[in-house]
Amino acid sequence: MKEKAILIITHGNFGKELLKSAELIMGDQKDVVALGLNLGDDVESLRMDVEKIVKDNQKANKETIILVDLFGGSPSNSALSVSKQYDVKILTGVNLPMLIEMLSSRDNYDTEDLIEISYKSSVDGIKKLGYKISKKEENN
Amino acid sequence: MGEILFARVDDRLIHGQVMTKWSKGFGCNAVFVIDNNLAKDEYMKSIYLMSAATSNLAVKILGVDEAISLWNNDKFGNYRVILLYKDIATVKESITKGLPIKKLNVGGLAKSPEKKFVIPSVSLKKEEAEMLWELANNFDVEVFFQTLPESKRVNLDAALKLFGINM
Repeated sequence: MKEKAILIITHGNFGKELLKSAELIMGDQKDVVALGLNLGDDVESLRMDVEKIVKDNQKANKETIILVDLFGGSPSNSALSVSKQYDVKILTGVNLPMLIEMLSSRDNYDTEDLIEISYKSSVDGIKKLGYKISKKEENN
Repeated sequence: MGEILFARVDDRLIHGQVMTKWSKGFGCNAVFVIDNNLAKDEYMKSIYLMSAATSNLAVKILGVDEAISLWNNDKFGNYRVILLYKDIATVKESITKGLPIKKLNVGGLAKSPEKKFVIPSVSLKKEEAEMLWELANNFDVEVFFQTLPESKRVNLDAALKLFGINM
């Protein structure tokens, strides 16, 4: 199974801080990088940074999975534009449950399954709390 | 008959600031991206169109000449349009070829060493400032610098002063 490298791209420092939060919980991680797009930054240079990281991963025989914050935003567009030339997988709506799942399961699954599991964890990680729990949910 | 609400220069083209902020209000129902290179790049075109598909806006990606023939054809039909540009030179090309842009929002141009900041999201080269001067003086375009509708607005004369140009 190919090793997987993870690249997080977000607006501002969200991704960098998210990675720090994940590492606070899980300890230091290898093969994971976060990039941020800030006011006044050049999207073309972001695209080139993304391309370089993906290329380097490819040379090291690693697959790249890109996690972005917002579908349709510039970080997502730069990931998509790199996907023209390179085989990368992209997940949007990155959150802490997604990242933790990705980091903790990446050595155990192939890419397709890892994406599915991480997608599920990111959605399942969202709960509406503070409501009275109904009988039905208790039984589940 | 349609209407060009305003044009915006933003090198990120379609993204959150445009789709969630600028396109709300003004009765806007369409965003046309005008960019000669992008119009030829089917792959990137499909990315922008896919990203914009969840909005309720009509989105088109056009080359300058294509945009002008659409305008000449039926004045953009029922569309109340924001025109999006990656650079000022393409705005100038459109206006000189006959697209009646009367308001120009410069909202996003990335920084680089030879440029000067006008607002935090916009930095300009001298020749870009000169082009804007030309558009304001020769084509009566109202040029203003603003990231979001609620953020600080800087007018062209203040921006031109940074380059020692007088209106």
